[in-house]
Amino acid sequence: MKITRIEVHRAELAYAGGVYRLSGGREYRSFDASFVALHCDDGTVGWGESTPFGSTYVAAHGDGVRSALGLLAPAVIGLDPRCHDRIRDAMDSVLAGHAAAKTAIDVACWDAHGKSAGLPVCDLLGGRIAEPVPVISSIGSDTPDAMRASVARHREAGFRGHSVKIGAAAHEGGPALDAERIAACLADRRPGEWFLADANGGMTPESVLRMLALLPDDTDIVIEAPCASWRETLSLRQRCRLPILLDELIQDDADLIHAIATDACDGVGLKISKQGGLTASQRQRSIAAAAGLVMSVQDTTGSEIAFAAILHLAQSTPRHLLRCALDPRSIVSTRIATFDAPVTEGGATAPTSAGLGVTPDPAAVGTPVTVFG
Amino acid sequence: MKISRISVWQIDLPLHTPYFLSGGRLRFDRLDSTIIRIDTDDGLSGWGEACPWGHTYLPAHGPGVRAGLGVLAPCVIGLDPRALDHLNAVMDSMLPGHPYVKSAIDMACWDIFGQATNMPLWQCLGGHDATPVAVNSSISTGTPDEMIDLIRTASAAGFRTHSAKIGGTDIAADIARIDAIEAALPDGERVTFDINRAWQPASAIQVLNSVSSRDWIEQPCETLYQCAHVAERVPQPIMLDESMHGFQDHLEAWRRGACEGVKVKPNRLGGLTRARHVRDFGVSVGWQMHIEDVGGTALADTAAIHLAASTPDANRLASWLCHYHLAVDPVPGQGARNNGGFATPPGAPGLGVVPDETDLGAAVATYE
Repeated sequence: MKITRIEVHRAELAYAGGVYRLSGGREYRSFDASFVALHCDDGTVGWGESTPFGSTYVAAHGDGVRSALGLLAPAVIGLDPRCHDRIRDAMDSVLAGHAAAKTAIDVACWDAHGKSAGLPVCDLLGGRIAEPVPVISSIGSDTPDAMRASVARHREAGFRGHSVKIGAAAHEGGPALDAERIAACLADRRPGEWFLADANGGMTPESVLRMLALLPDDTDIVIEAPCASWRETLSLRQRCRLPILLDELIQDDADLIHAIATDACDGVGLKISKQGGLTASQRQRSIAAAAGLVMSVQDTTGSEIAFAAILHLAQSTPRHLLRCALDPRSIVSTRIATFDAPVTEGGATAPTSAGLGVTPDPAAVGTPVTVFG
Repeated sequence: MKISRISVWQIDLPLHTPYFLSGGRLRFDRLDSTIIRIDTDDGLSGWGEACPWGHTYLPAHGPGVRAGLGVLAPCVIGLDPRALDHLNAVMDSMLPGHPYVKSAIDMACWDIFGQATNMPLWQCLGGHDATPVAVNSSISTGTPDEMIDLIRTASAAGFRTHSAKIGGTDIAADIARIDAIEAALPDGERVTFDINRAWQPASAIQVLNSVSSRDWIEQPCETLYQCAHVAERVPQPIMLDESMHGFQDHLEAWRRGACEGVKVKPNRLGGLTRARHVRDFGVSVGWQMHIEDVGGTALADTAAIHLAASTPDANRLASWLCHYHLAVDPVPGQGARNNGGFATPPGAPGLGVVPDETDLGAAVATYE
């Protein structure tokens, strides 16, 4: 089995809620998505996606993904898409770094592999673990009352995990507002619910410590990505009574090993295009599991194709370590593919069809912007 | 003063001799450089260059520079090019990472800043004089005899410091290279052994404890942590390069005692602003530094030589000149060039290298 042709498609995915706000005044209205259709000599076609969260979240942007694919695609044509580590070696040998671009090809190879083997991707990633995957909500920064209402709406829809976005600048209300936001989101808590307070690297140790001082002693929430740098994170870690989950700081194996060696966190957010694809994510999942870190399985954002990769990885992740998965279909309103994995009672189940189980809509992905091979 | 226009050119830079990274792992025949000109509303213009070393040496590539400029150029138009820290903060906010894109914009803004203040960049960066900077050769990997021949040729061209590329899986071959070069090195000359990440920690420890050389050892292993492990167990001073991306990496290297010096490369770090930050930190902790760029024409080389010339002698080792290895010269005769083993930065205000647009062909993009 060999890769014979790679088509790159582009689409703009609209943010479902109008304007999405992150700490530091970052705003997002739509996302520039790149899709790869990987054609093989036996007729198999695998699909992969890379959709950075704008250009201001992690070091990735849409045009950068496509310019890097110009180097990567020719390097994998002629290779067997089922040999994932060899595909990764071939990509690393023509371009250092650029995990987001490598992800689109890597995921398409897993889709092709699954289709050729007649197995869903979760069964190639260690095997399906029964029970739906809990899907996490995303509670954007807002007034405490509005955030409390948003949690309530998601609770009604069945969500058991909630990611509360914090990181208010001083002029917006600073640590006091963040403490109020957390208190409001936890106010109606039901048994079994799990909460993250996600600062997306936007706080200093000082602001987190002040926020913690304003929270009751029995507050049960996990602090995600509090600070931008390792030094700040390690400094905070020594003085933070709540568990810490790291995300943006952990981009590759070495980062994860560093986090474990320095005991920097209790959990890790695996975002497939941040880690470099399913191959890298699977390896990092094993490293995290060996260290007893809990995981949230996500991506920067994306369409049904990105969600399919997330769901198959999550579906095969040991349940005692899997906290939640992100469903980017709740973030974007543009539909790219059919994917039979509805969220029911806050959970979704990877389909049993071969590969990722996604069927892109030809009208939505349009004609390729580039064809290699 | 406001940035009003950014013009972008792409130029191919063939090397006059193919270059093999340490261990012979990767061959490089040509570089893909991006040259930009930033124009301002009051008529000053500045030049910048971003030239990754191929696309396998660092996480950087030529098409990526131009794609990234598509994101950043619209964000910096309208900003004051002299407010360099603010400009860099805006770039970091609008596009995290991608230092290899930002360095071109930052360099061109420094050029404008120098012209606006009527000072050459070596002076803007804290220097007291246009100090000639020692330049070093780059000795491609090979057998001991081949490498010694290359060192003798470089000596004849005036080079007194040599960067010898070694490293591979054959430990005995590396020991033989180091011992032979050490024995054959002409009096008064120095060598740095550059491994370019080719060793596993155990290989580094075995080789470096088997040789008598006490010369600098550069980037023995892939990661900062592997190098720190090695630094604790070998007698040679260690210099770090490719594993150092942001300022935090330098802080961590110092905290762990992972090195006694670093390479300071604007294109790897994000421009002269970031490189100066690292240089100043290096001076304060007593590091010795090679200050040069990742690649490029005499334009990028000269920007780095300005920074080198403004660095105290005690903290400055030699600088490498990429343009010396190119088969083409888009800025003929201009900028800092090898003159008997030294390169002197220009004295004109700003960067002091002004490409002739007619030599660059048509611009590939213009942002206004």
